[in-house]
Amino acid sequence: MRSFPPRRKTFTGQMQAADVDLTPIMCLFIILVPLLLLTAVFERLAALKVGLPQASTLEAQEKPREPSGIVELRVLLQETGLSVEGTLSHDASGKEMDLYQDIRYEVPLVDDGRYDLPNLQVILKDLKRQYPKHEEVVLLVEDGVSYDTIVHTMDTCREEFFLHDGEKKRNPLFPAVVLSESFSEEKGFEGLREGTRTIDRELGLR
Amino acid sequence: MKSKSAWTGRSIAYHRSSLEGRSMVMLTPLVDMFTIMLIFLLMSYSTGGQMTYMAQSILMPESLSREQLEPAVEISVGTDRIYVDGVVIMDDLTEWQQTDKLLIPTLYEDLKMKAVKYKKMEESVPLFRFTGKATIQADKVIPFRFLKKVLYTADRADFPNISLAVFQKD
Repeated sequence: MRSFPPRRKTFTGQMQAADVDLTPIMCLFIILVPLLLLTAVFERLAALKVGLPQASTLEAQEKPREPSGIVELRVLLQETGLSVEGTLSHDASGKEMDLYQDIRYEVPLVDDGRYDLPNLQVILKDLKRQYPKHEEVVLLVEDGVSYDTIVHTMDTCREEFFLHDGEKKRNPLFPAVVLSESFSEEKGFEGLREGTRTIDRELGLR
Repeated sequence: MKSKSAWTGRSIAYHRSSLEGRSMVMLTPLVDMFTIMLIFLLMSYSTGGQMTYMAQSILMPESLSREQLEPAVEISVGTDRIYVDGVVIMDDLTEWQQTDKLLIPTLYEDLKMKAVKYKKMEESVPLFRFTGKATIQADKVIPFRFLKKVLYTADRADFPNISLAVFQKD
């Protein structure tokens, strides 16, 4: 019984091993691997669209939107915790209320000083369940809050994640986030808004 | 019947004689390694996306967002300097982190000149449209006190469509 693979015989009758020419495949590897290494992306970037507060204009007033049931929904991001505020124009059954109802929920910091974002999402999910047409949330941020916290809060407001049949799914909550500064009744809006007319004139634009 | 040791001895002798005068480099492990690397790199290869300038000193926050970055003017805000499209335009932010004024004139001037340039291009290049898009890459420790000044300045300089650049979180 033969126990070795067949080998070619040369004209002299000597046995010779089959020789595979690896040069083309090596050339291909040497070109492809550096090219792919150069174009490899190890950190993926994403964009978070953010709206800025707009003044009410005649144009906006001319195009009345279908009422979602919430006049305005605000999330206050303070150094001491989170608050959800809003004004409801319709009840959960879709009937317009005679007197609009203000809502307010407090979400204090958890014991180790972190923001209680899961609790915030529970409140927002409940509001979304009652008013599915509403899309916008205004994030009012205090001066000392870090950018990292703002992004995490925006994520919490924009969508929820859940497992369905072992697969991670996402469900939009309030995807249109408007970023604004917080204000207090005593001080009005913080910061000084300067005009740009002088700079524009210096740049030769006016 | 030939013994196993006799076959082994003959085989070694054959190899020695046939490879005499040739340098023998074992390419099999190298080909294996290249194949594994190629598969890994092809699996992680991405054809989409937008090339961006990224300042080394800026560590952006992580987000669950999956939206792709779009071509836009890039404003990078670090703890000590501001870049616009990869060029440092301010390298001392001490004053602007303390003042109450919202407008940052140096940033405003740079952005406004870009907006004017793009609006002129819009008139001369038929398919070009100026949409006022800006992407802000900010360090995650930046307080909102300073970030709002950048947002306000960009808005005043005709860049109201603002996106925040973030690292994707799994």
